[in-house]
Amino acid sequence: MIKFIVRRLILLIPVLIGVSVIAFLMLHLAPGDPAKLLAGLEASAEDVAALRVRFGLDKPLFVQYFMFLKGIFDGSLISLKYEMPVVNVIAPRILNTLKLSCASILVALTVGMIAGILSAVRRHSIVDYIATTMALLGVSMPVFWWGLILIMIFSVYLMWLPSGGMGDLRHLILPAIVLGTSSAGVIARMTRSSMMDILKQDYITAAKAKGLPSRIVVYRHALRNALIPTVTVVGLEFGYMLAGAVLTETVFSWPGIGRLIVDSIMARDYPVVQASLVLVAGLFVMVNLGVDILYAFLDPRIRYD
Amino acid sequence: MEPLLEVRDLATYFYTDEGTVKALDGVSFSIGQGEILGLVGETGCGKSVTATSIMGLIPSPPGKIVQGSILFNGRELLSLSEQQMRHIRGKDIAMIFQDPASSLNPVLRVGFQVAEAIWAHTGTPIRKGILRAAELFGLVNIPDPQKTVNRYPHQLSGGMKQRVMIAMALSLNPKLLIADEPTTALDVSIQAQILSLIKRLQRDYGSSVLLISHDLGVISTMAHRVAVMYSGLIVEQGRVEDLFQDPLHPYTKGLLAAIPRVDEDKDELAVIEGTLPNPTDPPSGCRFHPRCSLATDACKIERPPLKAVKPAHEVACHVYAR
Amino acid sequence: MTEKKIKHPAFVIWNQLKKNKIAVIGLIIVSLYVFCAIFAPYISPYDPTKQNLAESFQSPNVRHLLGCDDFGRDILSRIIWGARISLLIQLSSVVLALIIGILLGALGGYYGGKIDEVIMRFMDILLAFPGMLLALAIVAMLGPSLRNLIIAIGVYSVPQFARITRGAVLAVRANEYIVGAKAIGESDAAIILRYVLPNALSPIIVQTTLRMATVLLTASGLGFLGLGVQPPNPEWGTMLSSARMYLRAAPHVAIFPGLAIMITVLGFNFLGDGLQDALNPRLKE
Repeated sequence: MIKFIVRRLILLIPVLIGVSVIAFLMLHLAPGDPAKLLAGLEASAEDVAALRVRFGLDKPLFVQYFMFLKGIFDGSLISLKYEMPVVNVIAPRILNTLKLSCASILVALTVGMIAGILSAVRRHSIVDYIATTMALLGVSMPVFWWGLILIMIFSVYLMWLPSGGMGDLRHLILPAIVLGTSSAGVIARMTRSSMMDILKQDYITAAKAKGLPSRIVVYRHALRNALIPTVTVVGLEFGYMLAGAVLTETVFSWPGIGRLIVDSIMARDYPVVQASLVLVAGLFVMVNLGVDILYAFLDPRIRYD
Repeated sequence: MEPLLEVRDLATYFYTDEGTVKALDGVSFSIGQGEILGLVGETGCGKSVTATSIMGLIPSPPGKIVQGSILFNGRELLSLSEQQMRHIRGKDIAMIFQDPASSLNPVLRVGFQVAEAIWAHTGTPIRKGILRAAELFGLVNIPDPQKTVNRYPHQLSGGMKQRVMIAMALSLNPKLLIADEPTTALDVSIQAQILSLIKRLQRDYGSSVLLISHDLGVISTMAHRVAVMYSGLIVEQGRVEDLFQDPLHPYTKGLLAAIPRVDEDKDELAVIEGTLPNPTDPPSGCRFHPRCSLATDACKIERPPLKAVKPAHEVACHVYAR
Repeated sequence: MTEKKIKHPAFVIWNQLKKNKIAVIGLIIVSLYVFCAIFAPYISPYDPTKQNLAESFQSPNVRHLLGCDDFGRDILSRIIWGARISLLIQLSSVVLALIIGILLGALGGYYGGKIDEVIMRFMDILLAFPGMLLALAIVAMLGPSLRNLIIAIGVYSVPQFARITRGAVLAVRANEYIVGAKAIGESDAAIILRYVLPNALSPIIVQTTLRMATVLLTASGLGFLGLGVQPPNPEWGTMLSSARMYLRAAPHVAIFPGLAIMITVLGFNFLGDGLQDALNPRLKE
């Protein structure tokens, strides 16, 4: 098991390096002189030259890359807009997104799994059709539009919930629902198809042949097996949420990392964008690793190789 | 003595997009107390469906038992509620399946799976059940039973897994054991061991066995009586010695003739002409008539009933009807 | 013994597909979408960019079936022309991704070894960026425009196609007829084109259809953020970003473009699911 984890960690390293290289190159692959891009449109020629030296843009690319990496972690990479080390800007935002993601995955898990199980156990019933359709709708809906609709209904007309910002629990409800909807759909479909596959297996018939009550057959025998691939999906969705809740955060003005990236792009705050990409992708990769480990842990066939 | 199990005119249909599959179309046989009945036939003739029909595990939709009666110790199983059937499954009638690898839940330890069956019927706590499982594992010759109860199915060999299934099936002293092709998925060397195990346990416990197989060799060494099945119907039934020495039905004769024998010097294997009938559109009258060399016009029209032609030897064929 | 007539595989698939009502609905929606896209200049009642401030925020009425937006432009016309832009983005980016993805996947799967390692590592790096982030980064880098949007979405779609192609290639590579073909002396390229790729066809078709849905969501998402197609072009997502300010006063400006996105995405998902069921009967229930 430990060997498994170590092996996967080693494979991660080139990926992380590649991610950081791409993030780093963003500034240099963009059309135009990096120094001018950083300085902004109104900067004079002297400002641009000063910036070039200050940011080490006159040094070879190789050196710049290491300066960039080092800069993220030792505070020397500074946000142009906030004028503080990028980590200080990014860290609180990641925490906010974490809050939102946890709430959303809870919503998605609950709704998704219940819908999936009911669908599979009562195939071809009304419950099945409704659940399947809703799942498909959830996956097909543009997140930002769904957010706007809910804001229209609950904030503008009913005035029950706030339309944005972060504050108490009430601010969390709508964004969590919106962000969780698509994942709920994915989880529901996965649980359903997984359960359906498993309910056809011989060991389910064998379990029934032992005289076990059907409740036990479904929950102990079927679900235990169906959970394995479903958990993977849940983990992946959580990863997406952590790192990509861009649209939801924009619609609800939620101060998370997604919105920070977009705002920083608009403000041409390249250091923040680059550092965010590295950190967010790194986080995503770690979550994926965690999911793989969890999968191996849950399936005794892999655990006891 | 009253037979333990009496099946009369059992018909199970499956309603599919391609048509209605008449898997069983009037099957009748009986099993006495302490007797091993072999149910033999080619793949697809309905042997397994017979087993699942008796257990009440026909998936519905698309399947349905459309007629017949299954008397177990005088009780009509088809009229029982699901709750009542549950009490019988695993306890009075137990089943072991063809592929032990897929019949055991891969994420649960084998000791637990046995203990669970015991718990379901007696309420015995799982911890005690696992101890009992270790005992049972010893009885079925699983080496190191104390350790084995904590293993997962994939850690055991095919033969061991099947022993686990046998232990599980016998854990509650069932009166009837249904063994659906218990050795087909195993190596030849293991097959003999498993079969002799089943025979020994059957003697010790006094249970009856419905042994389903397509292998005539298995049937001949294990069973007291045998029923031959073809396309959802029983075509011949009798004592093993009688049937093998003096087969009556043309199909049975064909099956026996097709077995290659060491002491013969033939160039070609004998085959039964033709192919298995389409289960959604079986031939009229006697289902075997398209492949039968003795077929007459009567055979095309009327389905022959199963009748005793000699003492304890029944056959469904117009040739013997008088 | 009667012999069944051997039907051409396309027929069998078509029959399977027809039986699936959901897939048929998907097909209808997609056809409608494509129709609007192709014939936009002929069926659009008004010029989508023509402003008429006097008619701003009109609710749906007889003259403007879906109402007018903040600049008095007819929403129905903008939605019809929006289909054209969206389809253009979808086709361009998916074709781009297909070409690069299939090439990389086939090369990696067929040759294996170091080439495969390198290609797969690179795909892993692309996949390390969750969801839209990669497309977002590329657009941020190159600047928001239609061309850059297509490049961004194309690149971000490559890994899926590469993986599928590679999987199909690996599955087929071990087959004996490949070994046989090599023995006869057929060139690698011919083998790949003639034997290997046709087997990968069905998962690629399914993935393409489903990808069209994802691409539409991503493109409109980027448009909503202001990083996609720029106004006054009537891209559905872009339309929604300006509608955001007028939720109370004129909800219809926000409702219809989003509805258009959702219905179209649903259509592709229905169709993709149906194709998957029809092409992979083993996976069906």
